[in-house]
Amino acid sequence: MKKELMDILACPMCKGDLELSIEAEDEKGEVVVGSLYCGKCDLQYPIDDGIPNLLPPELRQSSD
Amino acid sequence: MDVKSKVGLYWDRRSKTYDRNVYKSQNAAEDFWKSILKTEIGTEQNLNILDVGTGTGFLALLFAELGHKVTGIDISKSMLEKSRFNAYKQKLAVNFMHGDAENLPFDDDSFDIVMNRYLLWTLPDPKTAVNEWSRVVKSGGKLILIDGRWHDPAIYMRLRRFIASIIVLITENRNPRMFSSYYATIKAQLPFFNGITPNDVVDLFTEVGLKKISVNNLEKLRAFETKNRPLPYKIANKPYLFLALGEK
Repeated sequence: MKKELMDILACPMCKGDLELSIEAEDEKGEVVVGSLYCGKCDLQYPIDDGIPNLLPPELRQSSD
Repeated sequence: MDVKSKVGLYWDRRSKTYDRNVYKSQNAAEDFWKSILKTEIGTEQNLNILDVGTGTGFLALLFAELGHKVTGIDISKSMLEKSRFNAYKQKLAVNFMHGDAENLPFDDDSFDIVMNRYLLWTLPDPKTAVNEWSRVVKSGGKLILIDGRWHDPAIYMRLRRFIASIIVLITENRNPRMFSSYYATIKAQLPFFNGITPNDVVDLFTEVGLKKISVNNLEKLRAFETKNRPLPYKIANKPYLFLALGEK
C-alpha cells in the first residue's frame, strides 16, 4: 500500500482519520504489513500482503 | 450470515473462473471499452479514479493504461488477488483495497471520477451505496455507472438461462448453479437483483443531489457484446446495457 493513500483514507464507519503503523515495507517504501487505527471507533484495520482490509468489522468474516 | 458476507463469499468462489470466457477476443473488448471510457471522461490526464467493486480489475486496469491514478476496491479478497495479479502481469500500478461499496473508507471529495460496472444489483442498500459514491466524488467530478438487466424473471428468459447453464456446465467445466444456490437465500434482500433501468438510476442520482444527469444507451457496446460474447452469455442475457453519469 502506498503511503500517499493516507491523504484520502478514512475509517469506513465514522469517516475519521486513521493512524498508520508499519511492520514491513518493500523496497519501494510501500507498506506490506501493518495496520490502520481509528481512535474514535477504537478499531484496527489490518494491512496484509500490501492490501489494507477496510471492511466494516461485521463483514470481516467474508475476508478469509 | 449477513447478506453482504454471503455476496462476498460467492464472489470469492466465482473469482476462480470469472476471467475465463468473458469475450472471444479480450484485446478487442479492452480497446472497445477504452474508447467508451475516453468518450465519457474526456482527454484530461492523471485523474484520481475510484473503481468500486473492481472484481478482476477490468475497468481499473483500463483507466491505468489511459494514464490515470486508479484505486480499486472490492468486498472479495480472492477477486483482489486476481486483480492485483492482472495488474502485475500488465505492469500497471493500481491501489487495491478490501472494502464495502456501501461504507467506503475515503474522505469526502477524494476522487475526480467514481465508477462502477455491474455492481448495483449485488447490493442490499443501493441508495446508501450511491450516496457513498457521490460523497467521495470531488465537487465538479463525475459518478459513472454501467449496468443492465441481468436476471429478468420472465419465463422465457428463465428458460434461456437454464439452457445457457447447461452449455456452461459442459463447455466451461464450472457449475453455474452455484450462483442460484448462493443467491436463492438472499435475492429477496437485493432490490435490483432482477435488473436496473436507467430511470431507477436517474432517480437515485437525483435523490443524492447529483447534477447534469445523462444516460447513454451504449448501442455500439450492445452490438459489440452481442457479437463478441460466447454463446451461453448471449442466450442468457439480453443486450440491455446503459451508462449513467451524474456530476457533483
